[in-house]
Amino acid sequence: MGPIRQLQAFVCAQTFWPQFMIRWFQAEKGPFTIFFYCPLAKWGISIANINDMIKKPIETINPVQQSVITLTGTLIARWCWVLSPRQYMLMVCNSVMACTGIIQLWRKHQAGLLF
Amino acid sequence: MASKASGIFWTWVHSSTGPKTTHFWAPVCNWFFPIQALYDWNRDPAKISKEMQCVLVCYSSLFMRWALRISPQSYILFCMHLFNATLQGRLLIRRLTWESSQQKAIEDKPTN
Repeated sequence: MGPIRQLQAFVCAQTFWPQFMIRWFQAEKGPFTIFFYCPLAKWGISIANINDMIKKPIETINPVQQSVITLTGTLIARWCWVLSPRQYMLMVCNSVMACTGIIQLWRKHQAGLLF
Repeated sequence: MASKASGIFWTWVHSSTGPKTTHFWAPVCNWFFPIQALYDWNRDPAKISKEMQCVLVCYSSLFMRWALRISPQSYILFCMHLFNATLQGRLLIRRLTWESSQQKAIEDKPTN
């Protein structure tokens, strides 16, 4: 068994967890699989962008990077809509990412620094 | 000469996962992340955002694993995230070395 599986077995073997927690630990997309952490990483991009909005001066924002974030967010949000089954959570995540990109580009435009 | 409306290429163009659909362009647009990192090869380190670079490196590392765990595996996505993690990591290291050289310059400054 790999180290993650061993850690999962160790955690699930503890007796103080309620049953629903153990079921979650063993879920196909639970916290011991990669499927749980990928959406968190995608939200991290939006959170980092909001942090940059608040804390960094406008000259340091990279307009090319923000354009890529906006374009990727919009296209993947649209893709989540046309997939079957529709991925609503992923769509929301990517829409928020695209919105933060648009806001950063707008701020650069207002400061006269866009391209 | 094959007719313009048929053939493998045009069948692909008009297919349900071809370049006229979102199913094609959404994965392709992911490649703009490593291309942006190449474009910014010599970006002034004062203008690199440490937090954003960290997040992009983690994001690509996690998705490298994800690309191999989905079924069917996507080697193209794996390659894209491998390039992205390396290139964004290079920008992160560029920023961190600049920060440490700034710190060193402050410490070495002779005090009057």
